[in-house]
Amino acid sequence: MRLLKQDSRGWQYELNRREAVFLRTLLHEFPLTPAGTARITRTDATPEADARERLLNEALAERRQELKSRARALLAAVKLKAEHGAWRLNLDAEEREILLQVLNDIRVGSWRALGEPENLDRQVPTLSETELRLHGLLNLAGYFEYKLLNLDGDGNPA
Amino acid sequence: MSQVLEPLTIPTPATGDETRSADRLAPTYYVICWNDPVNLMAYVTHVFMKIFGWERAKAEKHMLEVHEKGRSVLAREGAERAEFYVHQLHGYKLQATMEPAE
Repeated sequence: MRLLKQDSRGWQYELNRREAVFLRTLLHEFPLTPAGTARITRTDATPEADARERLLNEALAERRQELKSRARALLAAVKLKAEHGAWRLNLDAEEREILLQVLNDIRVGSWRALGEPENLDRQVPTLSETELRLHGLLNLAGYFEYKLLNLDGDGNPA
Repeated sequence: MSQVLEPLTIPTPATGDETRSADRLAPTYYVICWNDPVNLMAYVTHVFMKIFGWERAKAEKHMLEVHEKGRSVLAREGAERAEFYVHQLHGYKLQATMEPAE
């Protein structure tokens, strides 16, 4: 996946066939983070903080539903289409942010399902089949985040 | 040699009561982002730039603080604004909280 052009209308990326398949697969996994678990404070034990936390989780649940339909729309032919043997993904600024949020939900959700390991480079042979799949989703989501942000190998803007 | 007398009354500093009352009515909160091993550093920088409208250098400074010190105070705001920022950061799946500033 590489950035072809960026202008006032948005971003155009080119993907090979495998990347297009992987991106579609990933987006179908959304959402992966468990609902209702967000914490708004670590020190505030007042009733106001409890109310705020409920509100936060309600807002995130609403956002989740919205992102779900927006993520499906990103897979529509007009957004991701085959051209001359490659795939083109056209995104405006809002769609790019949505895609980043969806991908990072999958990355963070996979990490949580893996037990929130500190070390993300566990040896593949020690992982179960389920863990291996989650590990793959985590890495794939990170790969596409990197490409969307158009970063070089060191994480700097390309 | 002249004798220095102790004052009979201790003057009260002229800190306005009104100001203190106002502080009590409008508590402020630190918006804090906490470290985790899963969010990509470049992604965190991007999110800070997007939400706070910061230049890359400032966003990177806070991202590195999160990475190296375990947390970074991103803003000090009234409850409503702090809550707004925390909602935005959670939307991007960053671990963010608002903590009373006093």
